[in-house]
Amino acid sequence: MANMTELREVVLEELGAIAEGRRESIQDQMVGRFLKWEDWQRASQAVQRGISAEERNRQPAFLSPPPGWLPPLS
Amino acid sequence: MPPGGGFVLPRLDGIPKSYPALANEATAAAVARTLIETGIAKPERWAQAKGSATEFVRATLDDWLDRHGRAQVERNFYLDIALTDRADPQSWHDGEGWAGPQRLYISVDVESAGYVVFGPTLRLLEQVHPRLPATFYQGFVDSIERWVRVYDYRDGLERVEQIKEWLADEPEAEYEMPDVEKAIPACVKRRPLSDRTLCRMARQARSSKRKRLLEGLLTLMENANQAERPTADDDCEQLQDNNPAVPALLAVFERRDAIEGCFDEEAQTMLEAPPEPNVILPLNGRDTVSVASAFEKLASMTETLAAASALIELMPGNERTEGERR
Repeated sequence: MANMTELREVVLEELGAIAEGRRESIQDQMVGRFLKWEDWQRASQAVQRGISAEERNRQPAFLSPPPGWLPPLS
Repeated sequence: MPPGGGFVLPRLDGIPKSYPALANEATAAAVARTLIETGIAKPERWAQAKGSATEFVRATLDDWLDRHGRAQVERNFYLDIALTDRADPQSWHDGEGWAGPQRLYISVDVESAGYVVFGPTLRLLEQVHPRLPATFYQGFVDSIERWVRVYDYRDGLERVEQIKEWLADEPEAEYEMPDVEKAIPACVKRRPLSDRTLCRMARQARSSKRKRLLEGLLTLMENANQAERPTADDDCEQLQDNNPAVPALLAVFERRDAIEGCFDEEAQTMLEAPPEPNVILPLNGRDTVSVASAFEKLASMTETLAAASALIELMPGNERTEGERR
């Protein structure tokens, strides 16, 4: 019973800290990690370069953009 | 500009990247605290939420619904229940004019309508007393309508009146008018019995099938009367452009009757504009009394629908394949 009471107090404290902005939430932490971790950023760049190379190598088919979309990039 | 080669990009500016039910983690954390203080949320769930207050609130609502008859409700009703910061969960706000955790809602939306056939049950009950079918029908539909919308013969009759008005403006149009009036059994139009007489009949019923039906109806009526559904007057402004709520249940007398025909036709346009939620329970996410009261009302609704769902399964003529829905 003592453990349950203790757990309740710990959880209430953690939630209170998030509610009052004293602690980052898990979502905020994920963005923060991405900004800090160079490996993660490099991996994202590698994926982006791979997609670009694939686009350069294939013959594009031209389609008219739907209304409201940005015009094609050359 | 002449068309060129390469990518075509959709415009993403102004479009939110995600649509969480609650605007941010701080709001979710504030409500989560209150949910623990009221005893609705279990602190041990926090570890499973992996530090996300939004996930903790979602899991808490899930657990709570499981404890209040969700399994039975889902056999015949198709609802989407969420704790949200918008009276209209289909909308999105950019934070302007938002009251924060002090003004939140439990909203109940309908994914598709459930289905109940009354005819065979009414014929069975008419053998006991000529006014018992009307008592059963009215008790059943009124109890559910305390919480969610039911589409029944009254909507069918309204639809027919609407069609007549349209046809008056276009006399050359050809239209096959559904005969809703003919689909309504005469026994439904009789005066219902009093609750006291209904209780006596349930006690004295000789056939176990009829006894179970009447006892099921009494449970449904009792659950429906546990709490008052709040009116969402203050929040109506947010919903003024919405269509009426999607019916949670279609009540017909026979399969494929004229009432079902009216519903099928009306259903084509029900989602032309976002529909109002069936239920909106406002709450102050920082106030234990307000949160407890909203969850008590939600319990009354889920227990009412659970009783209705169990009763539908007792009613002859409602045997159907798994997953059948309107």
